[in-house]
Amino acid sequence: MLELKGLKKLFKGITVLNGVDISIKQGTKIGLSGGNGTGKSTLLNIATGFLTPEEGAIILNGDNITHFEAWKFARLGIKRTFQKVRFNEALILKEQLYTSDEMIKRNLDMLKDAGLIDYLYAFPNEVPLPILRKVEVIRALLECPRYLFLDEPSAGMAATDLHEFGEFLKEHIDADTCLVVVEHRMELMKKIDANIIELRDGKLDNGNIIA
Amino acid sequence: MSLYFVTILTNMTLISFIAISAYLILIVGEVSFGQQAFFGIGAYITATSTTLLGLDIVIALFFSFMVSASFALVLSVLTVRLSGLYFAVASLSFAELLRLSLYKIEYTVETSSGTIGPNGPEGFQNIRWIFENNISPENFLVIALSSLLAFIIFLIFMESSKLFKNARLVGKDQIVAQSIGIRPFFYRVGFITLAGGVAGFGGGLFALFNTYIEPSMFGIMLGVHGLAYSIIGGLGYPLGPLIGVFIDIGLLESVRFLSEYRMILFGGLVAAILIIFPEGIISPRLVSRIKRKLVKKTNA
Repeated sequence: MLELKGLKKLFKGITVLNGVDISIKQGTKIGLSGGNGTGKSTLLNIATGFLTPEEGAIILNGDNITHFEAWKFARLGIKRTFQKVRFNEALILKEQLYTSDEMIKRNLDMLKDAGLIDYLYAFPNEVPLPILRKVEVIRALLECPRYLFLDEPSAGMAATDLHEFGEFLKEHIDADTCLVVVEHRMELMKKIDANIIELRDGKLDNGNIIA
Repeated sequence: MSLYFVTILTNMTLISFIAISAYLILIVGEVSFGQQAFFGIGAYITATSTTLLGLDIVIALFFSFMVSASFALVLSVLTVRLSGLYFAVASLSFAELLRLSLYKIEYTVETSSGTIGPNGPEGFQNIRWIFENNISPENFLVIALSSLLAFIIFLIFMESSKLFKNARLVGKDQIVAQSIGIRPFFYRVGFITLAGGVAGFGGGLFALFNTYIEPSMFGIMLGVHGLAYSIIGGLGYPLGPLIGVFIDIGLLESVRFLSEYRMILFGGLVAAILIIFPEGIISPRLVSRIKRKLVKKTNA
């Protein structure tokens, strides 16, 4: 279980998170919603080790990992994607999965469903955005994460692409993996049957919800 | 082959070690203006090992590699929180600190062939290994080239390894690297240390070839040239720095008649090449394109 306890975060004196408490069990699907600037991405960055909270703790299966670096969060099975896709423009996509040929062969079905097979040898600027978003998810999924955080994956996607993206997540994310999606658009949340939690005034709605 | 060409080729080979060393640091996303210091340390270590200690050349060069790598390790750990411009300045400061320290090292011994040992500003004289072992300039070129080739083959072999791919990711985007569990610190420290070792090894060969070294030989311009060769050649493949060396020294030597204007030409050449090839001649994108063509050809 991943527990975020009393998280507080300030940016230039402004309180962004003001005591967020949530316990996330493996296998749950959570949709984190909220208006612009409510701290959704900040919460995601803290939960994945890319930011350190001023107060509070992150507990993974009883161990306090609050001050671990982000790479260690990833090794502990807490992975993420980014709001703006991050790829090296000089490398073909196959090389940006950072995995072996054997692993690619083993996950061929997932790559086919993502529509990636035709683009394995393409540069990122030659590939449609919805596929790049799936490649980011695949990159995280190849190492079988226990917790996967997606930061606004629908940004820049048309409704049909979003539907396909939702199908892809449902099909390829293990039942044991906890999925947290930071998202504005409700279609995707519904598609993956997520428990929707809203972040408002630096706190989760209805006090602090336990998922 | 004339002695002139042998000497030019040997100099090109020796400076290639600094270029490769700069290349290794560029791979992990940093710019070092300090590789000349590790080259200098390597030179002093080999000079000391072969003259004062009478050690075999293989052991001397190994010591040069290890001691220079150790100093580079110190630099990498001290600058762990620095990057970009700040790392560049720190590397230059560290290099100057080491180079200026060489002015203070004095330990000389009188022998039948003259004074040996580091002698402060007067440098280290009578490094007579090539004379004592009857190594002709051609033979020395073979030794230097074989050593360089060994490093290049090692790097080409490693290029397809997970280690190097991860290092390139660290150099390009540390956030993505961390998101998939790659620890940037490990790659940064490892590559800066290896780069120091490579420069030190080259410096060791330089001391043997030159037979005389002094601290002023290892100033910033040496490091800037090494860095420029890497950038001109491109960061896509280990042959990049060598192409940079070949283009620059080859061209500079062919226009020797321009005397002092040659350095103006050098600056212009670097600018022109980088306008035409912004990521160097063998850029990572070019290497990816070639790989893609080869895969398509194999599949066809």
